[in-house]
Amino acid sequence: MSEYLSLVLYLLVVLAIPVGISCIAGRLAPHKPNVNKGKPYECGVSEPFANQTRWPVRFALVAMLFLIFDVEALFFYPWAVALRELGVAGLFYIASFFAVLGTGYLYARNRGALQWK
Amino acid sequence: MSFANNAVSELAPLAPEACVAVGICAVLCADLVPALRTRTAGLWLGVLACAIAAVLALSPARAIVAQMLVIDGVAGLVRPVIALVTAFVLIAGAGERRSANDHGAWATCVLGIGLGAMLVAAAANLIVLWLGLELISLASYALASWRARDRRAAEAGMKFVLFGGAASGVMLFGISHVFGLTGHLDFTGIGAAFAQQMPIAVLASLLMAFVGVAYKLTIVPFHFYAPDVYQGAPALSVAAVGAVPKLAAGAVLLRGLATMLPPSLVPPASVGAVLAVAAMVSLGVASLTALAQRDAKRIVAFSGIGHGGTVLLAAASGGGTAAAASAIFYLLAYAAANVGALLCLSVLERDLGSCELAKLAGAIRRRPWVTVLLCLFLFSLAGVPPLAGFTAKWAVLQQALGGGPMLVAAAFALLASTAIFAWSYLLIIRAAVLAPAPLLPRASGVRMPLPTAFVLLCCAAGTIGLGLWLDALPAIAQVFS
Repeated sequence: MSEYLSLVLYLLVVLAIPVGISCIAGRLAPHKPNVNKGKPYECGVSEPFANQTRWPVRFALVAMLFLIFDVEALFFYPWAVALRELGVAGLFYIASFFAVLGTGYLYARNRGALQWK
Repeated sequence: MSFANNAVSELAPLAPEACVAVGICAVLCADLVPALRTRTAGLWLGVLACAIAAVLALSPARAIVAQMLVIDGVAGLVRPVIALVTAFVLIAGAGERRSANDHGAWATCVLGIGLGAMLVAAAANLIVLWLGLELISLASYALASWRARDRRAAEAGMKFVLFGGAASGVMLFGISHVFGLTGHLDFTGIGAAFAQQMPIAVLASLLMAFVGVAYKLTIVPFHFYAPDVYQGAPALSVAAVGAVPKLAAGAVLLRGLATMLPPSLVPPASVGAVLAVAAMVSLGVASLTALAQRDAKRIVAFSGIGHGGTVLLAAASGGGTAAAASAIFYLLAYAAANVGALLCLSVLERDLGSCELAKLAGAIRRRPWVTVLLCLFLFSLAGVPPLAGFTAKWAVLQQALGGGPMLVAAAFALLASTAIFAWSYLLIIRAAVLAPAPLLPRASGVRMPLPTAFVLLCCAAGTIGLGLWLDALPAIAQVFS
């Protein structure tokens, strides 16, 4: 149990510092709120245009598809490196993987997920 | 060709999973044909894949696949059931979602949950466990927020994603610690590394690594998403999101407890007491919160949290086959009654517009048979003899009462929560059967779709049959040993 004592102490210190700083700052700091202080920028030009705009959900869709295919394409690298050792079995494995990937790609493409309407 | 032969023979035990994966690809391809998209062809392809997978998974052969997956007694029993329940949900979808035009996408998500659950049920490695849980989660998120413009569905989906992401993160953090401390990710390797005694750090890491499992079993405090998801998603989708992952999570929990812990910690020893406390908290929170609900689906959600706690209690009662058999039998009884109840609610939701208790008034006049079956399934969930719920609760109580003081306390908590839950279920039954209603016409013109009726009857047969099958526990225990 004693080997965890230092860990517990460390966690307590980690917890105490931010809580302590927040408490001290809350007590000592002067409170004079105004509109400008509540804004995201404290210097420079103050919000020349509204920054909360709507953005098309297609960004998310394309980003997700990119992520999926990008990560899945990564699996081809270790296969290519170990191609000779894996032999015919490796071809079998990667072919089944490629079939799944290809079906997903065909589906996404056919349903218009890659078109920017 | 010997390499190819080796590959095929090594992967042969995973034929059911491969079958479901091929089914997903087939459903997606069918969805690309415009003529098939609006028909239920994709659903039936999925049903076919699940049926073949269930038959293949019935094979009594036991195997270990690359230290990643293990087909033991638990997996051998749970995998066919998962395939069967997935098939039933898809069949019910062919009846309940006739007018929908997104059969392919919906079937893909349901099959994704089934495939993930089958992998989790056979997982013997923390990475496979995580991958399977993620597969279940990703498909579940989509199903939870299926109604695109519904605010409740959006809330359900957002809560589901945030809680799921947090649970997944904690789980990965725990897995990384387990690997750092033991150098192993497979269950047997972790168990062998600490065969005599397990340091607290490893135990804490394992606890974190199993947070994802607790999330799928909806154990308190990982339950917050469940009521909103049940309320926001269509009732039929909830049947897939709720029941199927619980079967898998229960199976992998039992395997983890049996293989990873040293004998000094295996339940009903110290770890059993911890699990019993978690079970008690789940049962208490779920049963008391359910009393305040005014929506039938939310009540069923809290009942799911309570049932998750009961499965945990069964797992806490012992490391032997008897406790495992009681846990799995409980999950089977729960799956039959839960899918049936949600399908009944799906029919009533379509007819009456909502599952709020106030809206359910007059259901008995409009859909007499569905309401009667709903009462049957709710009675089973409440544990009324001779239905499956009673036999299952009896089995769990028997196991828990034979354990230490904490387990006995948890057994009494189970009894108390059963009584409190019965009140909540009676609220639904009162709303559907006894409440004075506006004079609703009997839905005689709108015939019940044949697939829906078939699944309802199968669930009812399962609920009654499992209750009357008195030799179930010895039979299941024999499969495990």
